[in-house]
Amino acid sequence: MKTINLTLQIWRQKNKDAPGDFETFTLNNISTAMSFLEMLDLLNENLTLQGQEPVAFDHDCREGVCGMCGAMVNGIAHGPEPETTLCQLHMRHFQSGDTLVIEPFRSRAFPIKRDLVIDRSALDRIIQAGGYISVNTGGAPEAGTIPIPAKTAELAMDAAACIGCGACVASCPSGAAMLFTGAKISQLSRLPQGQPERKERALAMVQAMDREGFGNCSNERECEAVCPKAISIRHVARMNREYLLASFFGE
Amino acid sequence: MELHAHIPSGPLAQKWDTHRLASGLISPANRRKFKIIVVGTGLAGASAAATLAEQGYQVTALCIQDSPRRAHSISAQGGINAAKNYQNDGDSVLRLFQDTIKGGDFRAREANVYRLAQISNGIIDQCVAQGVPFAREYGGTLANRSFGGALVSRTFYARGQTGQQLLLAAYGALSRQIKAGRVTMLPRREMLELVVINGCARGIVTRNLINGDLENHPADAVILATGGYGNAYFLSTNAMSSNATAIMRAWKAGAGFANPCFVQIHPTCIPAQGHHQSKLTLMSESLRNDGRVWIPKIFGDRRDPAAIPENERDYYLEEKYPRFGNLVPRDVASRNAKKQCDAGRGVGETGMAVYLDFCAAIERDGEAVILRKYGNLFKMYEKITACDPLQVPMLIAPAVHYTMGGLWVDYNLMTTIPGLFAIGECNFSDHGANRLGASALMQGLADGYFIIGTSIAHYLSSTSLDYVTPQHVGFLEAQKNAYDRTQRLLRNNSRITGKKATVTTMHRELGNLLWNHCGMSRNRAGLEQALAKIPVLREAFWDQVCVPGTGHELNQSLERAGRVVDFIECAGIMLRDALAREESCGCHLREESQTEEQEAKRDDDRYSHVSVWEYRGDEEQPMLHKEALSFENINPSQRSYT
Amino acid sequence: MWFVRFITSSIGKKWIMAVSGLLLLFFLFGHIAGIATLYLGRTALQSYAEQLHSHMFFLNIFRIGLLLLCIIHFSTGLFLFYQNRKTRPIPYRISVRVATQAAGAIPVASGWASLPFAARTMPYTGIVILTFIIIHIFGFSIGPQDIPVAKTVVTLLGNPVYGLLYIFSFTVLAIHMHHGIWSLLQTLGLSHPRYTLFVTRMTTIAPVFFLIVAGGIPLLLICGVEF
Ligand SMILES: Cc1cc2nc3c(=O)[nH]c(=O)nc-3n(C[C@H](O)[C@H](O)[C@H](O)COP(=O)(O)OP(=O)(O)OC[C@H]3O[C@@H](n4cnc5c(N)ncnc54)[C@H](O)[C@@H]3O)c2cc1C
Ligand code: HEM
Ligand code: FES
Repeated sequence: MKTINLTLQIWRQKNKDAPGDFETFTLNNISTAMSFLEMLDLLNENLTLQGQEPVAFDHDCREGVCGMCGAMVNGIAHGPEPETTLCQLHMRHFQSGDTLVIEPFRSRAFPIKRDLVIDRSALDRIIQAGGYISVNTGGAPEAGTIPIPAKTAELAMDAAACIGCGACVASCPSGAAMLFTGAKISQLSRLPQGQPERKERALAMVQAMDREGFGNCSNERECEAVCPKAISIRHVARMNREYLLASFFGE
Repeated sequence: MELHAHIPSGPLAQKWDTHRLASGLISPANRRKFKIIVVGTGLAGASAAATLAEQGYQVTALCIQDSPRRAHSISAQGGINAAKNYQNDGDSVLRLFQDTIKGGDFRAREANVYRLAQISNGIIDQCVAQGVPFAREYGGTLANRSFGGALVSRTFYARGQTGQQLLLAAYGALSRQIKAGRVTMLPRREMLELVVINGCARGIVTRNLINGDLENHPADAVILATGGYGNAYFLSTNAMSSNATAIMRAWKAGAGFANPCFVQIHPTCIPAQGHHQSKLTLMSESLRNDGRVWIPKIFGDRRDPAAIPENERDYYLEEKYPRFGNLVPRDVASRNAKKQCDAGRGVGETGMAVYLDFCAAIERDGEAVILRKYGNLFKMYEKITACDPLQVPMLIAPAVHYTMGGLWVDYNLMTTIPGLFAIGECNFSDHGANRLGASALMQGLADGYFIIGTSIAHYLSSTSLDYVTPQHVGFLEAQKNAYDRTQRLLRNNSRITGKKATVTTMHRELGNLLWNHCGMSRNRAGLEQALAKIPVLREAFWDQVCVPGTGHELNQSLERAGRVVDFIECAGIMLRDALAREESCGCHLREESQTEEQEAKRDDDRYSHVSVWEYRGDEEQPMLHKEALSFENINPSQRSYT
Repeated sequence: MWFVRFITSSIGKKWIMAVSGLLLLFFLFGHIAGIATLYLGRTALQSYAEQLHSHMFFLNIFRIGLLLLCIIHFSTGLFLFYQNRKTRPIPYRISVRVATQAAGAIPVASGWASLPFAARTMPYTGIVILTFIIIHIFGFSIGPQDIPVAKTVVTLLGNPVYGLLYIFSFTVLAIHMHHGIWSLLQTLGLSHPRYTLFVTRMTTIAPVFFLIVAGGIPLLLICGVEF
């Protein structure tokens, strides 16, 4: 099995209020079959046995779907492989001797909790503002009565694939959360079930997004380039349209 | 411990209606006076929290992750079953019921399973109304596929991300209630204690994973929706934070633990790549529709698979099960693969895998057809292994996937502790000794959206509860226990110990022990040997494991250490249960109970029951209780695949 | 009020940029069409200018409008720039533009867009344009009143320093417009796969066309061509 050696520069920060800085580690004998997070596991095992505190990082499914993991690797959210979350990034994409700079996703709206662990609850609050269809349990009509063209369902699914990892925000030169918000607005605006609340949803979600202190998109497309689910900024255009229509013609 | 399943009388098809009619109600205006805690925001927890809040209760929901949207349910791929019969292929509630009972090898309750099948249709209605982008036919109707060997197409799906879409819809419903102020959502919390006052569950103690605070949450009822404990095996397809802690805490507080040894092992996972492996990734079972499983005939043949000629390949499944071939059920496929690997005939770097070869299918249908069917699975496989299944056969290996066992619950989903409910994968559920594909999502949502509301109303209307505060002595004691345990986990940090170990090494060791002795195939000697090792392992854990840092900060080592301690405990009960069940059934082959063809032999005379374990103190052995199962609407038959 | 809420929102501010940018584009189109009359000869330009100046009232309203437009576009742009900078208080140690790396090849998801270079430099190209506009206004509009406009144009643009500055500014403007056209469509929510290719072409063709038409004048003058 092939192994590599790396130098890691990792952001360390004790808690939200403590100052942070980079710490340098050398890590040897990294199997190229490891995932990036398994490489961090290895580092942490070593640190633990040396009596040092391991690097805190978020993760859960390790399958690229929960959206819990994520960090900047040499300046790119989720590392250099396209359409890949950090947990699905494998070490064979790195060369022995490389130096990796690992930083948390940075945004004013994502306070750092420790090391690479951040607080993305701002994204939850955007969804709470209206990223759903208001239907109480039990109040649903028979599923077959809502026909949806296959193509529409597919397009809605494209948007719905968002895992909420925050890479779009982290990599946006303007610190915007428009891809995240746009994906949800776009998904629901396409579906017949989403029509009744369409306008209020666009207004409320955009307002919530602004309240969290995210930036204003300048259409540089970094978000879709790093998005592990390849969500297109067409959804941002769709959100803009929804918002304009709702603002000008909503009640 | 007394086990009253509270199954309503009357004909099977009317039981649920009868039960709802007989259950007590709470007037809408009074509901807000009751506080309910929901632990976990997977499909079961999120749907329950949202539904109860819609009904007007005051709900507090908690989860370990930073957002309720990230619960383990998110990774379910295949789909969700319902008896809609949209395909007009003869499906019905009765058929879904029968398939589920049979699939569970007659170890589940008829009444519960029938209710599940009845409710299944309402789940699809609910999810469609919530905007789940299920796959559609060109005419706009809902598409279905057949899944896990079912003879009807009843599985609804949203690409390979059904769990994600269902969870995001439930999360949406939950978010709406959070916004409305009816749900208090507490993410990054771990339940460490259950508080029982006057015999009723009255709240929990949690650790705030960000600052380490221990917090008391009093309530009128507690609902556990904490998922399965498959991670006891270290390597599994479960998310990293899936754990047994809540189950073990409830168990120690007096809840029965049912069928702990019923664990499903999935045959088509990407094999471990080496010692560093931290979890396993599931590949859809559908791959076996076109892939052929084989290993080299010659022992120790290390040649490149392409260099091995046809007549030197052992297509062991096709040979042994000519009727089903590569499509034998999950357990049979898994068991045979492990058998071959244990005999040293496995392939791959670790020798713990078998080939799944698409060569024949590509020759027959062409690459394009195969890619259309499995393109994204191939892509996923290639991403992880850097091998292209079109060129080289895939390597697959079995992996722990789902735990059918869990907290014992009655028809109301209430555990043996009044006021403590368990829903979703963490209860012992409706899947008996084996779960059908696409049925876990169905069960989690049935429990959360449609069943728990009735149960909660009934419980609250029929029980009188005093007001308790977070300062109640019950809470103070529980908090002290949690604090002491945390301090004990941290003590090696400042102690000079001889041998040092990390949480991961201990967890891995435990996993190997379970995998080798309490996996798909078990025998008395192995189980006894493993059981004897549990105390040793526990001792070693407390002696050697260092947990850096303190309890007053974000400390992921501490979190994991706490979970592993509970896994060790959980493993003890699993082994005990496996020992006690001297029959083969569902997922498991008990080697002492086989037919002449070396196939699983169920023993209905002695084991047609649910095994429920009662905690009797750390020094005492747990006690086994039995809930007898009776089958009035379906005749228990033996499975046969040969 | 709904409009205030709208224009103070993130998308509202973007909308201001897009609409003011679009109007500036329309102006530019008209303005260049006017100047392009010089290609027909000095007299054509002179008569165009005289025509224009005979409607002084409308011209002044137009000028004020234009000034407002510039102020709105410029100040909103700067405000957005400032707001966006604040969203990441601690900058990254390393920051790589991924869309930049994918430049040239058609980006995966959206089908197409503008050159990342143009996108990134919007505020800077904007400032260059503003500076140029000021110089330009001092040169022509507030320039000497007694000399015929056509003569001023020929003299000024024939001056190599001023002429080259003019060409440079129009190049910068073309870059600004290259991203601007695409960006404004995106901001207004006008995005459809069917028209992607068309829009893609227009984001390049239109600015280059302006550049050739407007830049051609000083270039020819410097090269000694007589109009
Ligand atoms: C890879 C994979 C694919 C699958 N595919 C399918 C499929 O196609 N179809 C199907 O039907 N089933 C499938 N399953 C099974 C199914 O996904 C699970 O059984 C189901 O999602 C469990 O849901 P749950 O709500 O019970 O628990 P989970 O989704 O596991 O949620 C548990 C929740 O409890 C919280 N929690 C746990 N412990 C604590 C604690 N101590 N304190 C506080 N919070 C806690 C967690 O944070 C989480 O929010 C699959 C499973 C896996 C692993
Ligand atoms: C005739 C001159 C100009 C024209 C035709 C023009 C046109 C445009 C257009 C069409 C846009 C796209 C709007 C959008 O993002 O939707 C734009 C954006 C922008 N313009 Fe201009 N512009 C001109 C002058 C200026 C000036 C003087 C500035 C001064 C700073 C400027 C700064 C910007 C900035 C910063 C943006 C980007 C805004 C963003 O995307 O967030 N522009 N311009
Ligand atoms: S850990 Fe779930 S997406 Fe990476």
